Amino acid sequence: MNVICHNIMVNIERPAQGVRDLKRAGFNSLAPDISVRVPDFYGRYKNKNSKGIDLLSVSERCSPLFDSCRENGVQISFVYGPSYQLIDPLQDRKVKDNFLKEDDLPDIEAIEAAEAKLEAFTRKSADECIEFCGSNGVKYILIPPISGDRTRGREWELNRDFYMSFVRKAKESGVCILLQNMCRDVGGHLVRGVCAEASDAADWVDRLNEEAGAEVFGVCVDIGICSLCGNNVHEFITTLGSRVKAVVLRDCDGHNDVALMPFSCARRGVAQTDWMGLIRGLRDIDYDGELIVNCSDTARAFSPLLRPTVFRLAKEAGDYIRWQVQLEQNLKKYKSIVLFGAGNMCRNYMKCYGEQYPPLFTCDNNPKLWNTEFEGLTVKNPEELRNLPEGCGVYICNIYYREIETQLKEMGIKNIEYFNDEYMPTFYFDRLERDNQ
Amino acid sequence: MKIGVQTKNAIVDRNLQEGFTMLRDAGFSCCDFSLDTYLRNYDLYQGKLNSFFDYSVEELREYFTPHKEAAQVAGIEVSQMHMPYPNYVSGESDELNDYLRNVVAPKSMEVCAFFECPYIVVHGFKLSHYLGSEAAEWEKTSDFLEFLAPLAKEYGITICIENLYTSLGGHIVEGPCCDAKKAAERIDRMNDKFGAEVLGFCFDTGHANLVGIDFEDFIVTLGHRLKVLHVHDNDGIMDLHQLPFTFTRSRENTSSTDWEGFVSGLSKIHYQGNLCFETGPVLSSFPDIMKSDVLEIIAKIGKYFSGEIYHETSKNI
Repeated sequence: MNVICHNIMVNIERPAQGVRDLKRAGFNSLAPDISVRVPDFYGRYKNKNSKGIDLLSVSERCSPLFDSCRENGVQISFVYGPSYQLIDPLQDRKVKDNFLKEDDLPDIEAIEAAEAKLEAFTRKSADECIEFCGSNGVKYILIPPISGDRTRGREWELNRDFYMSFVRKAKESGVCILLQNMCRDVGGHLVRGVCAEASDAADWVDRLNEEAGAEVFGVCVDIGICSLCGNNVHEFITTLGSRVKAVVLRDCDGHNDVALMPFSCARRGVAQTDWMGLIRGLRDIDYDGELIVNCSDTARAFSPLLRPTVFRLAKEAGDYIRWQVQLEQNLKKYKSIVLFGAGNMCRNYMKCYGEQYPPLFTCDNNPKLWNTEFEGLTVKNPEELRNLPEGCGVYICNIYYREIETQLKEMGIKNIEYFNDEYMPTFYFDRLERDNQ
Repeated sequence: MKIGVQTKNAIVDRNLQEGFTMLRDAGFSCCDFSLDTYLRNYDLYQGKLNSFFDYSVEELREYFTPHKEAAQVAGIEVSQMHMPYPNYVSGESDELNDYLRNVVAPKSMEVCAFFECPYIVVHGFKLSHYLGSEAAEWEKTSDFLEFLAPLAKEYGITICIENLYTSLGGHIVEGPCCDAKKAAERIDRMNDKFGAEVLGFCFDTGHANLVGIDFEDFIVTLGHRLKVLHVHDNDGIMDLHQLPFTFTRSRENTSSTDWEGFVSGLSKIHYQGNLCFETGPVLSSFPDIMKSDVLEIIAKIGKYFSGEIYHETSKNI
């Protein structure tokens, strides 16, 4: 499972410093946006400071970045491709008049002509991006579904034609095209849009792949969108199953479409994004795809001087989520295991994993517990850890991880691991109360 | 299509006739009887029970006889009822949860039958995070519903499950019954099992808005299984139970709730049920002296929806 940095740190025109900063932050993978900017409905480019870079081909524009990444051992396996929305121009006060006839009726022909131009531009750009990905070893390109007010009721038909037009090139290039869950704007309120119901997204991908005759399409799940749409994330992920190829990790308050550092959006100490649902879901589907950390709004709010530090934390947050997802795979590494700790965390281990991965025993620094039974395990003196069999893992089941790790290292113990019960498959709220602790 | 409103905050036990008459005069012809006001959710979440449901079924019938008579005199049909909720409080005692299941729920069904009310809305159990999956959560809810189903069949009542929400650090996310496809399939399965329409759906517009559900798709997917409504509005952030068309979130000041989708969905399925508003909090936020005016505007909004649905349905035929 790759932990990838959503690119805001690396300047595509002058990538050297950014790529080195990225490496220093611990990232070995980058997810850049390689698309030539798609003009908006009215032929305008949003980024007025692009200095003509949008007029370059994908190859001309992105080669310096890819070269720099290669030189620094930074992998690019996932890229953002072009996207566009068919918004209703009559809802835009600034341009509404351009799409009205003299009698103030909508000029449908002008609207449809603008739509067709936009679509042709996006298709050409996407084609070019797919080809570039193929020749640069990129596995996944995210091309979000066409969405917006003007697509209501014909979403599948529009998108089917749109996506099927890339099949030949994707097959030739060996690139997988990813769809993404989308929002829809209702009077400023973001609600579920195209592919925001997992069963719909699964259905779309299956139908596209069937028609393509190969696994050309998959899904990138944007957790920020799930949060904005109030999805049950566990259900979302498990319904999609193996169709999930990439997950964008970002935080938001569930109302504003922003990309904040994972775990940073909280109230009264409780995260507002369903990280537990995500971790449980990814475990349930044995996920081994891409994890893209997007904290671009958090990073932009920091001074450029502090951003490398922000990205170090972003990498650690991504690694932590990966570690949680792989918790069970980690247990499988060892021929046998023992636990350290005879409290609530040990108890939760035994309730959730004790049957499948039974420990030989547990140990605890509290002498009063030695040679007692706890959750079916004998509680031993930590000194017993000196006599462990070959290939035995020692799992610390106590929040004083670092203190206990130091103790174990000083004893010369190998294979020290942390266990953590924040995101158990099920929950036992009745905490253990023990007088002698 | 009849227009109704919940009785909470509109009708009080000490002056029933005045309350039901006020509903009629405001333009309503049916109501959603708020049985939940007799055992409040706030208390249950604190593990507190009152003795209301200790009354025998006979005593409950006697207690609610004046309510039934006052509604009849005013010409207000009790067209749906809300069972006290939650029906299960995780982390609370077995004694409390057994009482909710074995005493409160069956007696609520008896009260519903006494009012000759065809629909009772129940809340599914909120156990997804605790049990680890929505499927495990539904199993518990389903067990509860199957426990009540024989009574429902006997009395000709349809129990309606409702789309609910849950909260993560104050951020509202989907709770039980927010997947229309699953709900439809589960309703069909249970009705097949009991050989009667014991289960249906109550679409709550406010809860749907909080979790960004596509109103039209959801309603169309439910189709004929949609029996009753809880119509109310919010800002997409908190469950405010306010008047439809109240909230805007853009400079254009258009509604931030998809009422067009609501009308379109109901007309596409040729919805034949009532339009009931769950807008009790509107009545507590306005001054008491304006209560009848506020009820009147709610009823007018209902009539507007009814007209739009009729108009759209005619276009679809």
